[in-house]
Amino acid sequence: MNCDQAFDALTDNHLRDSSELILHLDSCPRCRDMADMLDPALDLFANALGTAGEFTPSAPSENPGNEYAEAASTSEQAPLTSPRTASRPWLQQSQRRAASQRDGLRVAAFLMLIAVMMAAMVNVERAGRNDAVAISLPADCQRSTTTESSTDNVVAGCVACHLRAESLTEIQPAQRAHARQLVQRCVSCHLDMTADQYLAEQATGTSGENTTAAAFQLASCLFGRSGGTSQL
Amino acid sequence: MLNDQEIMERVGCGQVELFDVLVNRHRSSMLRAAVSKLRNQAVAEEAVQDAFLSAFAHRHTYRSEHSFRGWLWTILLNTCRGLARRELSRIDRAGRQPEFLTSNEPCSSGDALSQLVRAEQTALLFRYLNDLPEAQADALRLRFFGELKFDEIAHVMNCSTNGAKQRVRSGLEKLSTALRRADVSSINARDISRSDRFEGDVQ
Repeated sequence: MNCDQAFDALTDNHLRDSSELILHLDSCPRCRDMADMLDPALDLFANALGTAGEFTPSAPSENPGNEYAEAASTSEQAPLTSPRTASRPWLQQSQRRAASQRDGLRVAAFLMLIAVMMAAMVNVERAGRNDAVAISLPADCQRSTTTESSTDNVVAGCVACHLRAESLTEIQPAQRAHARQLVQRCVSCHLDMTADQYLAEQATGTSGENTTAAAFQLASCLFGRSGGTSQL
Repeated sequence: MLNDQEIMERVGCGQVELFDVLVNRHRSSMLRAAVSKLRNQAVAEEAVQDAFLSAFAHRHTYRSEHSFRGWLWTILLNTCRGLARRELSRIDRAGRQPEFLTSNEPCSSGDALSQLVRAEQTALLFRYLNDLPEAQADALRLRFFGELKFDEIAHVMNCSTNGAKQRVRSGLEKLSTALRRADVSSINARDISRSDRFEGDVQ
């Protein structure tokens, strides 16, 4: 098959998937580029002509002046030029191999994703049994608007959990800044001092009874129960 | 099974009932092309009927050394042009826009959704075809709807075979470009819509 015949076959709905054309396109980059270029239009013709039997056109347009915009109504969720279910015939053997390898990687990634999700579900189940994570902030808590979203409540849950860790170094740096900010807000509100002042008092052992009571209040606020050692 | 030329020879010799075979064989593809060209189901059916009547009335002018399909589609395109002019003048007098695809038949098959999507794809194709230069759009209609060979297209369009190929290729290129552009804009529109929804959720 030469390039001229390849164009004939490419524009013939019955020969577009022929093995001769595939062989030619495998070996002729110029024709392959052309096939790629013409692909959307050829697909549209193939889809439109795919109907067997009598031709039945679509419903009338109520707004003829805006036909192009209307055309994507029902199939809006799908691309306008949705490819045919059959694989593109002009893909090179190497491209097909690469495509199958990509498919394998996708399957592996999908399985890995499922495994991670299952592990996460197990952790969530365990965390559900640990009431330290499920904090409940008091109604009069002076949280700023940035901490009111459900996302930040989740983060607050993480903070509450991580604060029970051995040290803050166990927290990822990116989360650490956010966690510290959140905790500082709680500390400044509940203890009327900055986190650094609180840390300094803890380090020097100069915290009085009021501070200790306030610390318990903070722990209660963070952990939902009284107790727990804060690891600020 | 008799081919088109053999049937026309027999029709010319008096077996006129064989003309029905040709009508059944070519009507569907001709109707599809006529609808895409005239944008009106009723007028398209009239065009196809007129084309067959004209072909039958002038059956003695057909030469069997030429392609019957080329001859028949030449008649169809000429009939469509005549009817399009007539419809255009009627629209000018009435001062209204033409309808597009006026048939609204219910889906009888079980796979109604795929039929609906296919009908939309067909309507989309017709609309894009109408946006192309007439010579390119006609070349595409002849190639894909009529399944004519390029030398038959060249005969119908009174150009060289390479000229017919060039028209088909140019038409396909313009069509693909327009489809890609529409694809990108529809994706962008969806992204904007999603981000709007997301921002709304956050607020």
